[in-house]
Amino acid sequence: MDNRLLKTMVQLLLPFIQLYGVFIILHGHITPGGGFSGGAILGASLILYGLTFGHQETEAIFPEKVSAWAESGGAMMYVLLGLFGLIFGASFLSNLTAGFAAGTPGQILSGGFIPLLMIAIGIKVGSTLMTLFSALIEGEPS
Amino acid sequence: MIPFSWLELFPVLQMSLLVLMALAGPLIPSKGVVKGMHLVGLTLLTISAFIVLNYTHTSGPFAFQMGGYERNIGIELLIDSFSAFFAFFVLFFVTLIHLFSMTSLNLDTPASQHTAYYSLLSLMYFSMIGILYSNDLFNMYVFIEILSLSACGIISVSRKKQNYMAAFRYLMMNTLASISVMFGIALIYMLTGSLNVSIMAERLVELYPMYPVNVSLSLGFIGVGLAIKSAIFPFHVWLPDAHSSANTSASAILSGVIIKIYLLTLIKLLYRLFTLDVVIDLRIPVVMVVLAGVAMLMGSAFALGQKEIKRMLAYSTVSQVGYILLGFSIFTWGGLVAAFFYIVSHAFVKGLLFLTAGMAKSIHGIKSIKATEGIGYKIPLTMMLFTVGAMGMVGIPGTSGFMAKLQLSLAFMEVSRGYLRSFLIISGVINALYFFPIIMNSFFQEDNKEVFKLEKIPFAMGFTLLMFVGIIFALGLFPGLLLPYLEAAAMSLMGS
Amino acid sequence: MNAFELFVANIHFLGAVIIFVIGLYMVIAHPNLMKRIIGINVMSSAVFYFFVAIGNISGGEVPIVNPEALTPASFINPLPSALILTGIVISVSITVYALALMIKIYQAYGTLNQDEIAELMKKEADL
Repeated sequence: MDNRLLKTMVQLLLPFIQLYGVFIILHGHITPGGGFSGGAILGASLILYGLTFGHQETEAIFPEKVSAWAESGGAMMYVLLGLFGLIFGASFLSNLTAGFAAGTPGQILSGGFIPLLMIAIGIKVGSTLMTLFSALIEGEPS
Repeated sequence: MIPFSWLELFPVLQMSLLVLMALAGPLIPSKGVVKGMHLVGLTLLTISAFIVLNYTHTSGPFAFQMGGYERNIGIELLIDSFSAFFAFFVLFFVTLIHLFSMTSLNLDTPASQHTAYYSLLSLMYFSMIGILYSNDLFNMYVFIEILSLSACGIISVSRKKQNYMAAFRYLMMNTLASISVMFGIALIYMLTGSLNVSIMAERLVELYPMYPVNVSLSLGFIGVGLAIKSAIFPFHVWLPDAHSSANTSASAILSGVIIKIYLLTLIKLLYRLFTLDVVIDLRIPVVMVVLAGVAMLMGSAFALGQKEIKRMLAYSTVSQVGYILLGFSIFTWGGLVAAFFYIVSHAFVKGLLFLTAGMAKSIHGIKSIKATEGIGYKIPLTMMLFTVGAMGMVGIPGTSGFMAKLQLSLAFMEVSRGYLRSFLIISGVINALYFFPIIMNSFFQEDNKEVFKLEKIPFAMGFTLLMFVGIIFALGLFPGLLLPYLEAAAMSLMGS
Repeated sequence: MNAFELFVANIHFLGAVIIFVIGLYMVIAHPNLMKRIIGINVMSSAVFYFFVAIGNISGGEVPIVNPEALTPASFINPLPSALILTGIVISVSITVYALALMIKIYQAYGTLNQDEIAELMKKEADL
């Protein structure tokens, strides 16, 4: 597929889509949306790139190895954040009682560890969507 | 008294460790390291589960609140004799199978899939002990979903044509069942406004007389969903394909523990969520007796007509589910203990059968029952172990199968429903009928040309098989080793 | 309360049940694997709809805590929506896995009709 119009438009749009995805992830604790929705937008942007530029090009900018690390890393970060609470004498997945700062409600820096969880979920969902897409392209269930 | 309270963190740590192992697997390039990591991890988990089991045995059940929220908002883990025992049983069983699979996987699964296979297995163990520990209905649903997805995954890792279709069928049936369970959860959440099982049960006592339709619909949807997943007779259609096409260690796990987990979830929900009064009022025991009886007879009858060894074993699992359900269906303490004993016994017996049949298939290429002629001379050790499994299945005295059936009939006598024993006898006879030809064929062939020679079994596989045989005889001769735990488990399900 | 009012009050639940039955029919009656996957999705959407409808209040508030918050009674119950988010994730993963399996099945048998696949499998088993 070699459509110049399509490629140019995707190149123009991609930064904005990804910026929007990151915005949704980072504002997950104070507005509707969050890690899953933002991660889905990020993943969709990668899929859009993959559809326009083909599998090889995508593999060059977002290699499978990076994807695997992002996938496992995102989920591991979630579990480790959960265990953090146990270390500090609270329950599993405790938020404020485990010593995370509460901040001012309504500001970006608030909500204890919810923003960190959102980032973990965003990374996981974005890379997983990309992996699922390439798995479908190659027809490899796993 | 030593402050044991830190032991109460073990369940969460067990689940975290399993998830971390599953996630770390794909990042490690060396397969040997992955296998070793899982072996060490599973051994630690089994030991910790045993410690938790003894802790609950001595100092009673305890609850763990996720995130420190209140019970009606947050997720609660409830660890009592029931969940602690079965978590220990699951982990102990899968550790032995893992040891076996370290060698057997090289024979029946492409090397590129090993890491994915172990990751899926770890996720599966995580969801199994999650279902047992969780006291939150939606959380339980999520674990059920993870369990069914990863179970489909381990069928399709073998990368064979028929595996894809088996996995697809299994996935479709499983998803239908999951949706049904979720619909049931929605109906009962609508009524009670909470997802904590204990709180829901408290509220249902008042609500059931007011909204009987809602409760019975919810029970129906959840019951049918779990019945599909645990292959109770009319819903068993996916099982023979799925269990017979999976690789050796996977079919032992699928048949040994996974369908049991769904049965345990069903009985746990019947006792803890809907409570006994509602269950008896809706005549669930009658339904269960009928389903169990039909499953025992039809499962055995279908097994009789099979040509492949593994398919025959899969149909035999259908009938064995009937035995367990029959034990549950009388809703007494004795019935529960007997059914629990049957679950443990069947896991080891069927595990041994599947492992030996799988070895015959993957090492020696013997698949069908016809091909077993004279193989008692070619692979005597494998066939002898298979015979031990068959003896356990039929219920020869001395094996755990006999003890389990004895317990069941004693439980029936206790409630003066001895006529239920006729199911046991008929099904047992058919059991003997379909195992007999294989053993006769392989050992007592008249014009035998094979030379008698002991075959070599790799150490890890041999060790697992010997452990299984040891456990089968130990449970058959000294059931007292296990019964105190089972009695406590049944007691904690029955409640005060 | 007459029948019409009852109908209007429970419109969401009735709608969900109708969609559920349509999905179930698709799964059971169609031999085509793709149609069955779509049917599964329709069914799960119906259950999600049912679940979200439980928490809904007509004219309720978005449940975000802010200083000028109204009385909590007018908040829409956020729990079902949060649960359904989990449900949607599960549904997506099941769909992707089923589609991947379907591609593999098509590569192996050259058809997506379940009856034809069953025949092909039988022939192979006989050989």
